[in-house]
Amino acid sequence: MPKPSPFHERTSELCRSLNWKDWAGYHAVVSYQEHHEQEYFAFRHAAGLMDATPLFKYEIKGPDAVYLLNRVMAKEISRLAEGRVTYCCWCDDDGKVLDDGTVSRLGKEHFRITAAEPFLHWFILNSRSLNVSIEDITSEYGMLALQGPLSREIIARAAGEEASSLGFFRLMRGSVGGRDVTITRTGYTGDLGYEIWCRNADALAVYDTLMDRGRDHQLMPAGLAALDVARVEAGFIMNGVDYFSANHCLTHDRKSTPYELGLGWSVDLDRENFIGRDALKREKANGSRWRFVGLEYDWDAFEAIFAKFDLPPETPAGAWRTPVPVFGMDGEQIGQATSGAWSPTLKKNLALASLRSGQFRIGERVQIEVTAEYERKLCPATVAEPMFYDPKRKRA
Amino acid sequence: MASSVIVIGGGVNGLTAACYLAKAGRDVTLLCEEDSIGGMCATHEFHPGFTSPGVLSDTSMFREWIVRDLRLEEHGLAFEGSSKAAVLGKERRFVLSDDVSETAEEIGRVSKADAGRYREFAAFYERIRPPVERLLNNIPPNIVDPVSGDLLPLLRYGLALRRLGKKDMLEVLRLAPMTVYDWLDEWFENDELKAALALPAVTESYAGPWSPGTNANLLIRRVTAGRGFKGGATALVEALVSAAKGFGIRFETGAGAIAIRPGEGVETTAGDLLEAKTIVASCGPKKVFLEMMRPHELSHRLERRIVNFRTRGLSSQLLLAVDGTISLPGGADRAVIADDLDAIEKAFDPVKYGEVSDSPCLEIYLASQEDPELAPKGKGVVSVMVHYTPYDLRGGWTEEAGEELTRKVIRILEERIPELRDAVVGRKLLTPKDIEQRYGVSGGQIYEGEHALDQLLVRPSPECAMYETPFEGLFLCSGGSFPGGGLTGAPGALAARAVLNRRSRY
Repeated sequence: MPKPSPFHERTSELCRSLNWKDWAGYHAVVSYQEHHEQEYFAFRHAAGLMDATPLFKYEIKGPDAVYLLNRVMAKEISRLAEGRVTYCCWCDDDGKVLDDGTVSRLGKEHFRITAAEPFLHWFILNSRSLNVSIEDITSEYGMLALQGPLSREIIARAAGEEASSLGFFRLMRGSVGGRDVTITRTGYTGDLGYEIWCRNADALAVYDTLMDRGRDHQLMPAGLAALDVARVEAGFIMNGVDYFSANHCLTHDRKSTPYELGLGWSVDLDRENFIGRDALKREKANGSRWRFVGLEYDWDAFEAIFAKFDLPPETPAGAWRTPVPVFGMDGEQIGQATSGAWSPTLKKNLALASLRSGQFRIGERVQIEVTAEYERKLCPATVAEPMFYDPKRKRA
Repeated sequence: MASSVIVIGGGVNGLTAACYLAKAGRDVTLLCEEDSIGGMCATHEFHPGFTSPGVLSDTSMFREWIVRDLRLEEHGLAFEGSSKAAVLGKERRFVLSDDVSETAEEIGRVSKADAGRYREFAAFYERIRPPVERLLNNIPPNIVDPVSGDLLPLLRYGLALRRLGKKDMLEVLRLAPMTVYDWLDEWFENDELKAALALPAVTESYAGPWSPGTNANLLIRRVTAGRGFKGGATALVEALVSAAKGFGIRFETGAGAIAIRPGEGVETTAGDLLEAKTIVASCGPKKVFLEMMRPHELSHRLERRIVNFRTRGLSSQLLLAVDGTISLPGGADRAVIADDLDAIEKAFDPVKYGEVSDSPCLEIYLASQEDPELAPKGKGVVSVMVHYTPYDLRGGWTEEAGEELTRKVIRILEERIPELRDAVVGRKLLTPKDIEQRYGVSGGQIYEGEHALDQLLVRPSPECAMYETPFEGLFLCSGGSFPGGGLTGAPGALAARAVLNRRSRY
């Protein structure tokens, strides 16, 4: 049975739809209202507040903390300055991704990690003989994602001017409603946003303060359904949806490498050995099997498929995550789309896909399977870089 | 100065590997602190005037072909006329030796039936010796990642086995996974005989005679045992050192190895980097990978495998300085005290719970009878291996715990060797913890890794099973590699062969 997050007292009152799901063992709101659209628009036009507590959170401290993270992470964490956050992934010996998340450097020897899946054991196994403490703080800390173009004004009113000048992927310690918090300028919506960490005991006070300071800025509680649409627009991969942690794959083929997932930029190869380095070096030299891309459905063709059955085009009501095959124009299957959504902002039907490298180019057309009136059809789509929505304010 | 090969450690395997490599024309440096030459056979004074022969003393399994290859006899090494071990039972005593007829006669004093059975028993091992020896004296077959070239040796093993005839072949296939208890129970009726034959097969395994797979150890021992050398392990080490010097090996004895930098060289305790492209490490795999290399250098998989390689020490050594001479029946220099197979099992049982039995089983070695220089004239040194004692004794190996164990052992010794009463003038106990510290063996495991069925052929891990490691130019040659621990010289010789097979690269 899932457990309540420290914000549950508030979120359960606000969740009128009673639309909940189990997220990593927690009750999590899918949408507060009957439909998530308003919450989505809050992320894009005002601000949304989402309870992200169920993300697994680890605290790593000690003289060998940097050493441990350098060994485990594909990114060179020793180069991460204090007060900064980075996004990265970690792999097994074969360079296959185990999970992805953020690493925050709170102090010289003090880090926090977020993960989609439990990885305490992995960190402990790899810390043999190291002077480091590794703690799972998932159930001790609450985390809120404050995301959207007005989130800067809200964080300024809630945590002071200093917070509003916090740079992209920076962190600070501050206070919200008189309670100690850690604020990071990060998020999963691809928009301007912040994530606020607080101790469980402070959770309600922090929540109330943010909601109160956000009232004048149309701050709205937002759920996972809205987030899912936003993250597809931003082209962010999701563990368990767009790829599977190497730990859960029954076959080698199903595993993915950072290069295959578009995370090659986060891999620092030219340094001392880390887990997966040799395999990743070989892949870098020999090329990857897959490439992670975005697909934009050809609207006219999409409409025509449904028109044949006298139906209006059935755009998905929310983000979907049931994989569908993708074919070349010659009809040969070249990969699969793993998630997608209708983008209310871009007015486009979008998908995220893994395609075999060498069988397509960015800008070229491929075909994606569409089911209309129980019949499988192929709809042309254009291959794009997997980042459909990238406002300047995200980084500014 | 850069040499082409550095051998880390001057134990029997390190010396053997170094000799083979130098004999093949390699420029070899042997890195070993002066007082560690001999490794687990290195001597040390444990009581004023009395010297320990080291913790490994049985030379009977040292391979004859290595003696021939390295011409060790020209360096003063001589085979013993015979090797004898006395069985000190509660009431009766008899002597086992490498002479089958003599042994059968001795056994006949306790059991007529067993005397005949022993002849058959010995003949059986003699018949199956060729294929098993072939396996034990070669680089192990590549069963981890076999390519076509590796299938041929496998086929040859199969053929050699087939050539035994159906009956013996099936017997060989049947016996290895058996418990040594069941196997010996099929052959013999006398409890003391069974126990004496079984004890050496189980002492360096985390196992009693009731444990499956223990019979493989008996098989290895029966097939490889020879006569041993005059002067014991010290004589063997002296001959190897002399041969090594003859081959022009440089001895770097001022410092020990502290860190391995594959492809570059070895860092010493003196803070120097001795350069070499090829490094052959005769220290145990745990020491090599978990102590002499930094964690990040290892893959996660290799690290887990080496961590999981079981190296739980189970034996303690009690060194006794005695006044006068102690003698054993038949002039034997070794003796066994284990009354029956269940007594061994019961001595093992408490180890699982961090405890020591009240009646440990003992292997006694009259060290100074073999090497008189170990003790002053008219006095003697007795080394007693005590089975079993846990590495992690509940409550720790405190002084009191050591005293208590010593008292237990001496009580048993005085009962079975009355001459020892009042003769002991000095004693020193080495627990598994002490053995670990003195000899640098992980867990105090004197075979550098338990001899369990799963740790014999693929030893210590699949990526290192054929001496070569995933690190360029780094090879393993301790007892933690195939075919295992003890004074056999085989891992050293075979590792050298693996290096030389790679001659294009190293």
